[in-house]
Amino acid sequence: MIYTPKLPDERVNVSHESFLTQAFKLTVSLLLMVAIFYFLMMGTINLIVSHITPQQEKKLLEYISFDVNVSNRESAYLTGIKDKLKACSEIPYDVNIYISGEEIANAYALPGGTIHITKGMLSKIKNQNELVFIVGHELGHFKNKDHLKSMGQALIFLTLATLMGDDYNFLGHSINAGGAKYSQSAEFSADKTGLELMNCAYGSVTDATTLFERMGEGKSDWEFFLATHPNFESRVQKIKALIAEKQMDVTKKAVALDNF
Amino acid sequence: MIDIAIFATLLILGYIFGTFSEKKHYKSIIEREEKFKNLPTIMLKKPLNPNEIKESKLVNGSVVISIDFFKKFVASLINIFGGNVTVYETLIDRARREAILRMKEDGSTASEIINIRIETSSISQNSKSIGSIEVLAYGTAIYR
Repeated sequence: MIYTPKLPDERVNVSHESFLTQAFKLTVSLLLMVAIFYFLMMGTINLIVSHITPQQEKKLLEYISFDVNVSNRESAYLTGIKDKLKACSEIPYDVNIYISGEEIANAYALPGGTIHITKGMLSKIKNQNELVFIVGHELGHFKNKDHLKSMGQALIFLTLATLMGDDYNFLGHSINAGGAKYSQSAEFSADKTGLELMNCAYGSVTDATTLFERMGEGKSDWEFFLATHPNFESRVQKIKALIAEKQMDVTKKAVALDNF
Repeated sequence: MIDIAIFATLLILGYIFGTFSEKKHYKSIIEREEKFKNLPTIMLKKPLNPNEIKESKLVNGSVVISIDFFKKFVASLINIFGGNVTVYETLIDRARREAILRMKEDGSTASEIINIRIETSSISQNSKSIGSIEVLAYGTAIYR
């Protein structure tokens, strides 16, 4: 027999499935897996949070201290508004309210019953009614136990991030996008609770939406796509719809601001 | 948002350039394999015909090939679900064939290359860096 050299069969050692199809299938399955995990965990946490008693919550919060490194100061005026609203809210523990020195316009409800309103936010507020609504909104977060839920959510993110490692940073973003939608719905319900508190404590909801209307001017919807807070326009719309539905009073003149 | 955009861009660029360079590489491999197919390369330790040997020398060929961002991403997904890491198959295949071809080019005037060995090692500093593999092929070229 004469040996004639030949090349081996081409690419027998290589699969012929398209990498793109494979990548697509795998990504979809992974996102699905993470989504199922996330919603299962989120459901469990919401269930636990809704059954937690105020005493348990207080005990839980003793272990967590939030050290916000800003110059906080109390204001008798703000505390007065907070106390009046809180009387309507059935929140079973003490809530403190502080003015923080940050220039960015924001307000937040921290675990442990602390509300911070930034200097930047106060400078945007034009009358007392707008301020009452903001404080009511933050109290709404406590009433809806959003601080506990967001802690649970942060815990899930942390678990997923640890499980997945650095290679899956993109997943974090996808989950954040999902989480942002969730957080946006929490903001809507805090708006609702805030409005009800305002109506209960002051008997009027005049100018509840004017601050959001001003803040929303010139902002595109795109900026809110992955944001934790919904866009101002839809918040204003929902609040107005609620005012109309519950026939709340908007005829009383807005009260002027006092000194902080 | 910007992070997702950067990630997607890297993925797309990785896919485009990775596929392009892989196709180009395979084309060159096939051409050169055809060119060198008459040079026998065998694993036997002794030459087929021990007489009439004028000269013998060590020849070697080594190559380092890196995976692209897209392949790394797909491979990391397969790591979760299991299965054939098909994206790495072409990488290893190319590296192995290229190393043998370079070895043959090193001993291109030889009548045969015997006692061939192939060794593989991976190069990656940490899990974040994109990994590469090195394939080294070496043997003894026999000149008659």
